[in-house]
Amino acid sequence: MNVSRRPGLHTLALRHRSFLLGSVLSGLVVLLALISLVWTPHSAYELDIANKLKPPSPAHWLGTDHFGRDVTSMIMVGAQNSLVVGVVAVSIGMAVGVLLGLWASAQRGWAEELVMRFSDFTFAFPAILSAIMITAILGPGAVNSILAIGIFNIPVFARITRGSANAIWAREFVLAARAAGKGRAQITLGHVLPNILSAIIVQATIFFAIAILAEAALSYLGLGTQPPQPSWGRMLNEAQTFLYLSPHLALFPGLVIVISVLGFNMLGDGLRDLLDPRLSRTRLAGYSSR
Amino acid sequence: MTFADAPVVEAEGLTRHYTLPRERLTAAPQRVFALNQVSLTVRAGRSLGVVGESGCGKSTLARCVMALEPLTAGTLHILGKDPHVMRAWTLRRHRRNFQMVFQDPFGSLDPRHTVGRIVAEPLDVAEKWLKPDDRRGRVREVLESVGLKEADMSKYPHEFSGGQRQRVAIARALVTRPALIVADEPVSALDVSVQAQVLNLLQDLQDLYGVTYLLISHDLAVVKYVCHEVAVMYLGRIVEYGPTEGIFTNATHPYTRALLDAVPKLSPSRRRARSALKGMVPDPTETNPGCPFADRCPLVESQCRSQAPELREVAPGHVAACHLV
Repeated sequence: MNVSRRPGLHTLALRHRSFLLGSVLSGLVVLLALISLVWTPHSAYELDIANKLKPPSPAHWLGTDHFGRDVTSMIMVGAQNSLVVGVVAVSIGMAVGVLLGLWASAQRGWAEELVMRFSDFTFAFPAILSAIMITAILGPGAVNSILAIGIFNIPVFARITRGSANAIWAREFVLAARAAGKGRAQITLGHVLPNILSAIIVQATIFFAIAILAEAALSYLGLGTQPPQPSWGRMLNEAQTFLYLSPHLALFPGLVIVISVLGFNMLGDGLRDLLDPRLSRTRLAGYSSR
Repeated sequence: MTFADAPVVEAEGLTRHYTLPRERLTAAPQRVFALNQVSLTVRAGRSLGVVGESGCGKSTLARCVMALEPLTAGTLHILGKDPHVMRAWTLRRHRRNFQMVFQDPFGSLDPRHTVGRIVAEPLDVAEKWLKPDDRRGRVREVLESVGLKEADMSKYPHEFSGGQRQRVAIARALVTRPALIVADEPVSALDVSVQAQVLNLLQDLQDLYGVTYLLISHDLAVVKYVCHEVAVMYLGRIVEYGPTEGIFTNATHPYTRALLDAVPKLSPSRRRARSALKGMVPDPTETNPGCPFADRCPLVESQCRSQAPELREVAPGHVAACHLV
């Protein structure tokens, strides 16, 4: 087997179009949020009623809303909001879901049944509907919407983890580890988790995009981020009243939502091709061929 | 590591059946006997080969001896202790005495671990108090004894050829200095040219460390080359069992003879009339009162269909289960 002939990961990454475009787009969103921490063209909170509903101009690049706030600045600060919601919600879903999935796969039997029936139950509700339900119970707000999105992410990660982990448990090197005297926990941490990590990372990236979209939807419905904290979803909501008068108010927040969701989705697809040996034939051909 | 002439493996009536899911709610669940009343003994420093066609229960035997799978019935002693009745923790400690080499050197090594970590894995349990330096020394020593280099410790399995990977797997099995190594088809996934190297290695290691082998194979040539004794399995049972010499020169069971005839001969002048087996292996779920081989046996008689033959001695230490011997 010749190893040196196989192109490296970074070479393939540079050739992978959707990975490249995805990282550029999602990088752009992250950059926007980072810049807004230190600088925005105007304050995102300052009202300027005299200059309300202005179309894009050199002073206000993307125009102003019905309170005269600068749309560029609001979108930039809103990016922070979206990213924080995405990171925290996906982390909650991933942490709990991966643990449940690993546990189900290691224990088998009733534990697996329990986890899987629980996720079936959760899957029976459309994700956004259950998020609305949770925020309706806990009350609207950024923290509660993060919780809601995180909770509906749990079964998704539990399933992915359990499915991939079961495949690893069936491999012969796990039997070899048992023959060496390793216990279930040691095998889970030493063999199962490292071998399914790339699948989990890929899933996390894709669900990051979904979480951003869900946060926008919740905020649009008034259940997510509360004023005056800028949020893309609520900007859309407020814009619909002035849709004929000032279409730019809906256009730009909509555009950044599309860009970030598309970006993280493409990044996830690209990562899957590059990292997951089971789904990619291009790299690590020797890994999966048996 | 010699225990005089004490048996390393003593198996008595090992039986393993699997229960199939019911076909209908009212139907009785069917059982498959993967292992049926298998008894065998391997003495220290000796090798027992288990041969038979695929599906005869060889691998189930290997896994049951390794206590990776529970027994339905029977008792097993490894160095005088029964791993199947031990508490989980005691068993995990006892495992240092019996290790396994798997068939597929691509699947039995974790692709994400370095060779050093793979080989050291049994030490994590057996000698977890070992200092990192000593541990490294042990791994180096065992890698060298299988013909690999210290520098290979930091490499990953995919950087090696099949034969080298199997050497890594053998090193892992050897690192705790076990009394017994169960090898399940250790060379059948390898190129023919590499097979001989690995078999030679196994023999050298036996001479060096006095390790005992339970070698599972479908290849008679492999067993003849390495083993002192041979057990021939058919449908979960041992049908013939004896010293290698006796089995190969004086096979008595028709199934063993058919297996021997199926081996291709190199010299055309020594070509024999082949008595190729006809028919398929019967469904192991059926509970047939007669000899399990009756349907395919060229010499079948009426009593073979009604009564299952017992193992009977045909020569000193050589037993066969056939009415006609």
